[in-house]
Amino acid sequence: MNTAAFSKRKMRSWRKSLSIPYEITFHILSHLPVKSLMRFKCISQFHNSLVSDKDFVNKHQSLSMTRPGRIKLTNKLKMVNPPFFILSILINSIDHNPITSNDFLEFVNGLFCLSTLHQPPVICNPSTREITSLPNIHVDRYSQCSLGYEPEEKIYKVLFVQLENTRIYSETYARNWVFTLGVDKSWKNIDNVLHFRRLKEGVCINGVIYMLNDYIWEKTVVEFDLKVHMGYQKIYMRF
Amino acid sequence: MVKLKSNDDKEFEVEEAAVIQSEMIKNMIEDGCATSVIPLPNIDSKTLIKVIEYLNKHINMGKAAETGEEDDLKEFDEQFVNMGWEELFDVIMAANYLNIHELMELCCQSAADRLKNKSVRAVREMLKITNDLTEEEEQEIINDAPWAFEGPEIDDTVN
Repeated sequence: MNTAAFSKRKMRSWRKSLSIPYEITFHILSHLPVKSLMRFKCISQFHNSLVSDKDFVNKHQSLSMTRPGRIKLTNKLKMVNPPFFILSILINSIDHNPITSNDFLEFVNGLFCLSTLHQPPVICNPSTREITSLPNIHVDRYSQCSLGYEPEEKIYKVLFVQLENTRIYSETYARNWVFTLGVDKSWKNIDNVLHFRRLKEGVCINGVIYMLNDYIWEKTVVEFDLKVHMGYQKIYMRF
Repeated sequence: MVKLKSNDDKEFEVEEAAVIQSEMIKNMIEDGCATSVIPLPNIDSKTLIKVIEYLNKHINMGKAAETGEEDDLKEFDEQFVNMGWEELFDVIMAANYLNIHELMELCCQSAADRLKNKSVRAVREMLKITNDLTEEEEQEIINDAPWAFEGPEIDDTVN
């Protein structure tokens, strides 16, 4: 739904149903746990749309971050020892092959991305227990999927890197696709070609995904800017 | 001293150091608009007394950390929000109007704590909201997250 249409509907519903000022409702609800919010969507049209509103989600998230007991997770977890709660949601909700230690679970700003061989990546929101499977794309052991968050526009993007020409000693290049959550219907191919030897895990900081390109005598850091969809390479070690 | 006047025409004298915790009044004083009595047409005397009680207690927020009075302040806050639902809402409205950030946070957290485990029906009644969702829309929301509507903690009472 576009913003203008959304706020018009929101305000109409608001005037009809409430006597408490908008900002006060916003403020009180932002202090509630997710389970209550998912239930309170049923209160009225206004509450239903407020809970999915970008500004509200942001405010709720920043408050949650300051509370004690929040889960601290590293960016990438090998599936040997995954958080049990996430695993139980994934197993219950999708028709998935057994999860193995080759699979990766990534975490950015509240969302998880599970990448498994030969299956499209899966996005999981543990708070709302929502699961979304991304459109089909060829996942093999030469591909890498990275979940990123672009803080300016407040959107999540998935970068998919597929290595081509992976014979040893030959120049390897990579093709890249980007998928914007909640916007794109299919993967978008990016012209910008990155040169890779072998990919290792990535991490997303401030809207940029950093990936380690690791090959016996050369290690580089590949940066991919989610805002402009451009990749750069920086050498940080050479033997 | 600054004089505040409630909407039922009662006047209260408050120390300037206390009253400037309200961003709104602070701006008025800085702009030189607070020479005599400041009328507060949205706040009744009962609510204003509560707000002043809070402002007086929190007058030296910064110093509390140094002198080890934090626990004392925390205890005061806990006692302070121990009031009726309607009364709490009056204080929230006043804190919002006067723009007193800490008081707003304290009261909204208390309101959220009281709403947290309530059923949909109970919340509608507490917030005086008329349901404008169709039965189908409501069912769709329930079907999307049935787990949010289940659990022993969910409380259907209104208080």
